Amino acid sequence: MNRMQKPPRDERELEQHIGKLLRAQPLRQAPASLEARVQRALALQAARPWWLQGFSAWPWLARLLFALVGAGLVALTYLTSDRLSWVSDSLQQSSLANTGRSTAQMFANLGHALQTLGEMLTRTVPSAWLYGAAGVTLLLYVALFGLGAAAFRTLFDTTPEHARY
Amino acid sequence: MHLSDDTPVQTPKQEAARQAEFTKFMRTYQNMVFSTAARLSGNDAQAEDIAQEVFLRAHKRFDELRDNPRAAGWLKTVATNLTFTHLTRYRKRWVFFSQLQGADDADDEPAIDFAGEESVVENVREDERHEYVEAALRELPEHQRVPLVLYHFEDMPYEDIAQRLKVSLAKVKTDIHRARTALATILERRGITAEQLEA
Repeated sequence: MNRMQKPPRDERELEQHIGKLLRAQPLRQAPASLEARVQRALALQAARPWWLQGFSAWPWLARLLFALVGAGLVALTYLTSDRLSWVSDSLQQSSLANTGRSTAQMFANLGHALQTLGEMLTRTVPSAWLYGAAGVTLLLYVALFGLGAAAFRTLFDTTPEHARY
Repeated sequence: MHLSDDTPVQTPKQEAARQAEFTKFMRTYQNMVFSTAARLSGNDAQAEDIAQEVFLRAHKRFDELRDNPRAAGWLKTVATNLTFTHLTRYRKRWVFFSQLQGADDADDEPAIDFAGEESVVENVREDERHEYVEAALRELPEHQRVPLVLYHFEDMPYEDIAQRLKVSLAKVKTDIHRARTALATILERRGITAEQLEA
């Protein structure tokens, strides 16, 4: 192919050319299967029983019944609130609540033990070693992070070569 | 535009007429909806899924959309939003990894080598050229294609694109400029010359 090298265009000129080119693009042709797919999906939706569809699609009798039952449940909850508070009080004293308390105590003990271990380590291990270990850990973390980014760009990033510059 | 979600209960005859009208509606707008989704996503299979979802939503609100002059705008907005939802899980990844490259390497871009008038493929047919442009768009990486499509096809200003993509204004401008450069390079490689871009 016989080519002439031309100087690169400036940003404004390039914007005008690409803008003009893209504006001149006609709409893409939708796949022929799209219409059939939509019709099929609509038929499936219509075939669903009414109680699985939106509330507006329910028969008026079902909507009325639902509203009545809902209102009844609210009234029932209000009327039985005294009894419900009694149930919650008794639950707090149940073995379930005791189990919860003992689990919380166990975690508190574990935290205390870890704190003691930390204090012992800072007393016995020179602080330079601790800082060194923290530094090495940080370095390893950064290296692993960089390795992950490099692996992503190598293995998964589908950006074409020409677009990377 | 506010559209309610209520679909009134209709007789079978009314429903059949409504379906026929909806089919006509869909045929009118399906290319526009598909084009929006395909150009943004860069993937025809995904675009078809998105277009299907758009029309299922449109069907629910068809009574308000059928004679509405803003129906096209509504469909386009829904198609764009659904495509963004589709791209969301990848977007965080490309924002991070494309920023790793650094914004200051724009000067390293190679000069575009525009073919001369002697190019043997300068007389590319118009429909072929349109197909080349669509293919070139698909080749662009997502972080360049999405802002480019929003800017040139959806007429969205830079600021809105930055807000929409949750990236800085500078990054949007850089990505769009790189997208244009890459697009011109791909087209040039396929024999679409600078002169033909202007034709």
